[in-house]
Amino acid sequence: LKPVRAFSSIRSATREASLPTFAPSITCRPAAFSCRLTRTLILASALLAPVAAGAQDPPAAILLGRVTDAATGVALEGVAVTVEGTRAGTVTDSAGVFRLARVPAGPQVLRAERLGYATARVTITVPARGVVPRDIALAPQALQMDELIVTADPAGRARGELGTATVIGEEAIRAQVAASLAGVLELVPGTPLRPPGLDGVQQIGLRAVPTAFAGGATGVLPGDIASFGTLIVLDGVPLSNNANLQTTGARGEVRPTTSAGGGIDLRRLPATTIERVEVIRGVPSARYGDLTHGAIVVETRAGVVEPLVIARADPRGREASVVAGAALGGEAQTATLTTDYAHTRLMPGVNDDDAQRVTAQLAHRLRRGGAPGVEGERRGWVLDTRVDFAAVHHDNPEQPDVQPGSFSHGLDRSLRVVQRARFGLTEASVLEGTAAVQRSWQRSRTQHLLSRGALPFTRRIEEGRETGHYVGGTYPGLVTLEGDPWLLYGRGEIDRPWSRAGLEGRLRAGGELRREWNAGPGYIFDIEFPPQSRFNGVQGFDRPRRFDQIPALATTALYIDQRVLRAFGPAHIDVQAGARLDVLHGGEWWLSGVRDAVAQPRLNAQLALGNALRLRAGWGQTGKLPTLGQLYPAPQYYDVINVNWFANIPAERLAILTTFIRDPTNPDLGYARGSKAEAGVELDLGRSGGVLALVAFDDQVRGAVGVRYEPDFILRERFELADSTEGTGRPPDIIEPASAIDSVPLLINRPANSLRLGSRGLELTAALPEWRRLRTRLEVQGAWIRTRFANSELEFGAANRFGDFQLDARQARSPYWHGASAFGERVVVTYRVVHHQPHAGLVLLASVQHMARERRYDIAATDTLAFEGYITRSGELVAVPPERRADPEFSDLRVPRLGFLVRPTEVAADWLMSVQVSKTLPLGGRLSFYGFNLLDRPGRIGTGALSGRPLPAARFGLEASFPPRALVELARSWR
Amino acid sequence: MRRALTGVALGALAGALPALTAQPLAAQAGWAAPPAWGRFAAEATTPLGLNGPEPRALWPRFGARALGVTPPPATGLFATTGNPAGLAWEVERSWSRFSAGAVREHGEFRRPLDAAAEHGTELTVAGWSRLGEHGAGFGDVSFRSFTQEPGSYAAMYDPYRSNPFVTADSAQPDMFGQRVRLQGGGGWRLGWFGFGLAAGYEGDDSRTVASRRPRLLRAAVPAAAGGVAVQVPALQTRFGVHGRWRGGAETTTVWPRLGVVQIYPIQGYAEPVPRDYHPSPFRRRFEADARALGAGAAGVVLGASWAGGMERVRAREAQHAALSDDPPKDRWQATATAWSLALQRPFGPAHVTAHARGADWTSSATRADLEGTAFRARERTGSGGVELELAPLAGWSARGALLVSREERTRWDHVARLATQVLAWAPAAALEVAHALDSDWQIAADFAVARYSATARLPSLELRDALYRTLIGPELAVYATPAAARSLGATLSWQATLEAALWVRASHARLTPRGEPAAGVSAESRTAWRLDVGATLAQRPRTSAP
Repeated sequence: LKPVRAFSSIRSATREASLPTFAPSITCRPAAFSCRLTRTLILASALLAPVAAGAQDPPAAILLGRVTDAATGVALEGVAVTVEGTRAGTVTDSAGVFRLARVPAGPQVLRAERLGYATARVTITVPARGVVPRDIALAPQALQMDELIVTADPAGRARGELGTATVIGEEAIRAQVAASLAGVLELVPGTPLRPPGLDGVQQIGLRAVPTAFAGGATGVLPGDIASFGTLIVLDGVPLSNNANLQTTGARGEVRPTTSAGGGIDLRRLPATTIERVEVIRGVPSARYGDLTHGAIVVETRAGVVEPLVIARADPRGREASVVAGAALGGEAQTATLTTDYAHTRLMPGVNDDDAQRVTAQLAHRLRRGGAPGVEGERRGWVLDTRVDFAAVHHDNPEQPDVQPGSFSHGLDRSLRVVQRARFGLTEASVLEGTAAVQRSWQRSRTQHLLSRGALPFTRRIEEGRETGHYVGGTYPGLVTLEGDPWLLYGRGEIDRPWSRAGLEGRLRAGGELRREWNAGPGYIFDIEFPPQSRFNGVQGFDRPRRFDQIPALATTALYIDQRVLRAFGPAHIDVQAGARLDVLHGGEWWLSGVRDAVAQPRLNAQLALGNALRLRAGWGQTGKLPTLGQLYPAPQYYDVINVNWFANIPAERLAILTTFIRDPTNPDLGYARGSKAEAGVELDLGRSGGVLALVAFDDQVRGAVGVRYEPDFILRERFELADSTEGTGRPPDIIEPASAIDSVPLLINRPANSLRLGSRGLELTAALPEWRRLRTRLEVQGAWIRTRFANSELEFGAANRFGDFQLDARQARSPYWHGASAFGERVVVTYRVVHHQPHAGLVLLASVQHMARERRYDIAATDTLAFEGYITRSGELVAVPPERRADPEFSDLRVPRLGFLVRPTEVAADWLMSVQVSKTLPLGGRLSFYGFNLLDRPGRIGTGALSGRPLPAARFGLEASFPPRALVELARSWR
Repeated sequence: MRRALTGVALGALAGALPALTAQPLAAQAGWAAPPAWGRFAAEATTPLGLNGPEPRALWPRFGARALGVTPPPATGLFATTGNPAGLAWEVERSWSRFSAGAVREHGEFRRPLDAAAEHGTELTVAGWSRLGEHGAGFGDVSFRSFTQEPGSYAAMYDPYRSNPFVTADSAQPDMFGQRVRLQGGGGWRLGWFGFGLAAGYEGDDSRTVASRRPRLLRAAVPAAAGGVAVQVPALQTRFGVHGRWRGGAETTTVWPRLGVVQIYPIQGYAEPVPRDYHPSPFRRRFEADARALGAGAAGVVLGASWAGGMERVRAREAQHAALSDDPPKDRWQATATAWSLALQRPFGPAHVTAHARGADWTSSATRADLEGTAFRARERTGSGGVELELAPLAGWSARGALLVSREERTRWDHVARLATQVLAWAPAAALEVAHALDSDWQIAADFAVARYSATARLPSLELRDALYRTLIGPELAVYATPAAARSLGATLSWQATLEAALWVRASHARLTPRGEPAAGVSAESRTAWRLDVGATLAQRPRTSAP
C-alpha cells in the first residue's frame, strides 16, 4: 500500500489541531477521480473534525478511513465497520469512507464485514481524543462467482456416499425462495418448479414421473409409491410415514387431506431452518434402508449461528423465521434455536382456505476432548441433542352461502427427540449411537353434505343377521380421524478408517432398530351417518376403526459398508461396497420371529482419471416396508339385504340384513423390493471451470403394495313375508327358514406385493464456467425419465359393471382381465443464470424451466377378446384359452375393457420463468425479490390429442433477512 | 492549495451528483397521490415506462419534490432520455433510501371506474451506486398493499389507459391487492464508449375481500432497456441510441359462485352489452407488447449541462377470453413520437433546471367481432417547467418550480359514430422551504397548486343509454370540468450520521372542481394524504452545494 502524496495536506491540517500523528495509506491511483474524491472527502472530514473537536470537546476519538478492495483498490460501499466490544459501528459510503465517533480510548479491534469479502479484523490503539485514520483493504476471498453457490453443487457427493447426489448447501438454500423442503428440492434435476407456500400435501418421489392411470384399478398411484420409497433422514433419524393411518379406506366419499400411503408431508420442514440437503438419487450406501427410490438427508442448523430473522411476504402467504445459536460457556457447548411460522392462503379472494405451520427446534451440542474422528485430535466425545416440534394446520372452513355443510380441518403435530453420541475410540475410529423417539398427533375433521335414497341399514359390527331400519335423505357426513403415530428408533455404528498397502479405506458397520405404531382412537363417525352414501346391497357401509388396536411393526437391520480408495498414478479407483439386511418381525417387538427379510447388496465404483474426468457406476438392491395400514387393513363389511319391504307407512317397513365381515389382511405381505443401477460420467474443470455430469439410471421396484382383488362369495338368504297387508301399522313377519339362498360373488381388497414401478432415464447437469467479465454463470439441468407402472393382478372391470353382476343373480359370470401397464414420460430442462455484482451486493438468479415433452399412455389389450376368463357367482375363476374366446358360448364376456389411455396423450410443451434478485443490506441484512412464473404464462389449452398444461399463476413477493445485531448497531451508530 | 481547491470543488460536485442521476419512481412522483407506479409512468429513467401512450389521469401534476428527502432533478442521457448507457457518466456517488409509507385517497370527485376510497402501505428501497471503476447502477424495489373500500366497477387494472377495451362488472366489491415493482440497471464505460442495460418488473395481485362473486386480478409487466453511447470530447457531448421493450399480461377472473355476474364489456363509446355469467366464471386476458427506439445527446454548453432525445414507440395490446389456444381478440395498436429536453445550470448559489417533454401518438383498435377499425385516437401530451433551487444559506434553503402540462385527446368511435375532443391545460407552481434547526435537525415545508381547465366536445348524455350514462359519460364529464388542486407537505429530518438521515414526511392534497361541475360529476372534492418515514444513506454532505 503506497501512501499518497496529497495526504500531506491532511497531515498538516491535523497537526494544526494538535492531533496525534498517523500513517495513512490509501490504495488508489492518485490520478483517479475516485481517489481525488476520497481525498477530498477525507480532507473535508478532517477539516471539520478538529473544529467539532474544539467546539464540543468529544469524550473519545474519531476513527476515519476508507475501505477498499485489496485486489483492485476500488472503494467499497456498504461495508459494516464496527469496533468490537463497543457500540461504535457504521457503514461506508460510496467512496468507501467510514467515520466512527466516540470510540473509547485504548487498544481496540476494528472489524470490517461485507458480503463477498473476507472479514477483516484490524488492531489499533485509539488515543483519548482526536482523529485516527485507518484504512482497510478487504480481500475478495468470496468475491468470485465460483464461491457463490446459489444452486446445487452439480458434482457434489453426499457425506460418505459415492452414488449420484445433489448437494444443496446453506447458501443455495437461502438463495432458493422456498417455504419448505419441497421448494429446496427444485434444485434436483427433473423437479418441476412450484411457487413457495404450503399449498396441499407436498411429497417428492425421486426419479419417477406421473403415469397414466392404468384404468385406475389398483387405487394406488405411482407417485405414492415413489414418494413412499424416498427416504427422508432428518438430523440422522428417518422421518417415517409408515404408521400414518389418516385415511378412511377405499369406499369413503369424505376423505381428509392426507399424506397417508405416500411419503411424508414436506411442509413440516421449513427451508429456513435447513443447513444442508443431500439428495442421494443414485445407489445409497448400505447405511440407508427402508427405501426404494433414494434418500434425502437433511441437516438443520446447529452450533454457533449468528441470530438471523427472515421474513417473507407475498399476496398469498407470510413466513417468519428466527435462527440463533450461541456458545454456552465456551466453544465446547452450543445451543441453537430455530423457529418458523408460515401462513398460506390457498385461494384468497375466493374462499378462506388456508394452511399454517409452526416449527421450533432446539439443538444442543456438547463436546469434550477433541473432535471424534478428526486425526490429530485427541480422543473425545460429542453429544448432540435435538428437540423438534412441528405443527401443520390446514383449514377449509364452511362457506354457508356457497357450500353449506362442507368443511375440513387438519392438524398434524409432531414432537421428536433425537440424541446422537459420537465417541472417539482411537485417533480415527468413532462409535456413534443414535436414539430417537417421535410422537405425532394427527387430527382431522371432514364433513360434506351427502345425499342418499331410502336404504336398508344396519349398525351391526359383528357378523350376523338383524332387523335394520331405513335411512335416507341428506345428512352431514362427518368423519373425525385421530391418529397418534409413534416411532422408536435406535442406531449403533462404528466408523473406522484404515490404510494398508497403498489402500485408503473406511469401514462402517452398524445396526438399526425401529418400532412404529399408532395409538390414536382412529376414525370416528356416527355409524348411521357414515362418510359414504353409496351402497349397492352387497358392500356395506364403513364402520369406525380404532388405530390403537392395530399391532406395531418392528424391524431390525444390520449393515456393513466398506469404501476403498486406491491411486494408480494420476488415476484413482474408489469403490464403495456394502450389504444390508432388513428384517420385518412377525410380532410387535424385535425378539419376535421373522415375517419377511430382504438382503440388499450395494456397490458403487468410480474411476477418476486425473482431477477432471470421473467415470462412475452403481448397482444395489433396496427394500421398503409396507405401511401399517397395508399390513393391517380395515375389515370389510358386507351388508346383504335379506328383506327389503319399503311400505308407504314407515311403521310397516321391514329391512333385514345380514352382515358379513371379511378380513383382508395378507399374512404374506412384506417388503417391496427394488433395484437401482446407474452409470455416469463427470467432467469437472475445477473451481474456475465448469462441470458436466451425465447419468443414466434404471430404478425398478417389484412388489410394491397394491390391491389384489380376491374372489370370494357370500350366501344371501331370501325370506317370504307372513303378512304384508298395508294399513296394519306394523311390519310384516318373515317366514323361517329362508325360501331361497343364492350366492353373491365378492372381491376382497387384499393388500399384496403386486405392483411394479420402474423408471429409466438420463440426468444431465452442466455448469458452464463463469463469464468473469460479466460475472455471469449458466447452469443447465435436464432429465429425461420414463416410468412404467404395472399391475400383475387380475382386474374385474369397472366397479359399476361388477356391481351389476353381484346383484343380478341371472348373470352367471363376469369377465376378468390381466393387469395392465401405465407409462409416463417427461423431459424437463431447467436453465439457471446467476449474475453477481459484488460491489453492489447484488445477486440475480433467473430460472427458466422448459417442460419439453410429457406423454402418458397405457399398454393394455382393450378389444373384446382381451378377457382372460370369467368369475362365477361362487367366486371361482375360470380361464378361457385365447383360441376359444371367440366362441359363441363366451359372447357375454366379449365386452369392451374400459378406462385405458391406449392412445398416447401428449401434454403441451411449455416453459415458465422464475427470478430472484437479492441485495445485501448494510450490516449483514439481505432483501430479495422473487417472482414465480414471472411472465404469468397461463399455459397451453389442450386441443384434440394434445392435453393442456395450465401453469401455476404468477406469484411474487419479498423476502428480507437481517441479523438483529444490525438494528442494534445501526441504533448505536446513529446515537 | 490548488489541489485543495480542486478537491473542494470535486467534493461539491460529488455532493451535487445525485441530482444528475436516476431517481426512484416514488421520489420522482413527488406527491404521488394517485399510485405512481411504473407501468404507465412517463418518467424516462424507468425501463417500465414508455415515452408514449399515457393513461388519462385524474390528478394534475404538481411540482413538489420534498426537499431534503428527494434529490434534485437530473439531466443526462439516462435521466432525460432513459438510455442506461448514460449511467456510467451520470452516477458518481451512492445514494440509497429506505422508506415506509401509508397512503389514503378518497372523495367523490372521481371517474366511474375509480375506487371511491383507497388506502394502503408501501415499502420502498431505492438507490444508485458506482459499480467498480467503469460502471454505475441504479435499482429500486417497492412493495405495496392496498385496499379499496369500496372498489370500483372496473374488473381490470388501469381502466383509463388509451386502449378503449375495458372490462367492468356489476359489483363494486371491496378489493385487497398487492403490488411489487422491481427495476434496476447498469451502465459501463469503455473509453469513449458506453453501454447499459436496465430491466424492470411490476406484478399485481388483487382480489375481492369478501364477496359471493370473487374477482381476481393479476398482472405481470416485464420490461427491458438497452443502449449505447459515445463520448465526443471535442464537442463535450455524448450521443446515444437506445431501445426499450415492455411486455405485459393481465388476467381477470370473475367467479359467479353464488348468483349471476353481469359483465359490461366497454368497447369505446358504444353502449356496453351486458353478458351474464353463471355458473362458469368470466375470464379475460390482456397481453401487451411495446417497443421503442430512441436517440439522444447530452453535454455541457456555457457551463450548463443539457440533454435531449427523441423516441419512436410502437405498442400493441390484445384482449381475449382464454378458452382456446388462438381465440379471437380485441386489438389495439399505437405509434408515438416522444421527445424530451432538459437544461441545468448553476447561477451562483442557485441551481436552475428547465425541462420539457412531449408525446404525439395515434392509436387504433379493432374488435374481435367486427371487421375494420372500430376506434381511433390522436392524443398529444406535453409538459414543461423550470425549477430553481437555492443552496443553503444561513440555515435556509428553498426551491421553487413552475410546471405546465397540456393534453389534447381526440378519440373517434366508428361503431358508435361518436367522437370526443378534450384539450386541457394544467399550470402548477410549487414552493418548498427548508430550515436547519441545528447541526442535525432540519424541517421543510412545501406548498403546491395546480389548476386544470379544459375545452371539451363531448356527446350529449341525454341521447345515450343507461350504461353509457353510468360508466362512460361521467368520465368524460370529469375531463371537461375545471378543477383546482393543492398540496401541502412537511418534512422533518435528522442527520443521524455523516452518511445517514432519518426523516418523516406528511403531505396532504385536495382536488376540487371549480365552478359548476359538468353533469354527472360530483361537486365534492377528492382528498389524499400520505405519511412516510424513511432513512437516506450516503446522502451528500450538507456542507456541499446542491
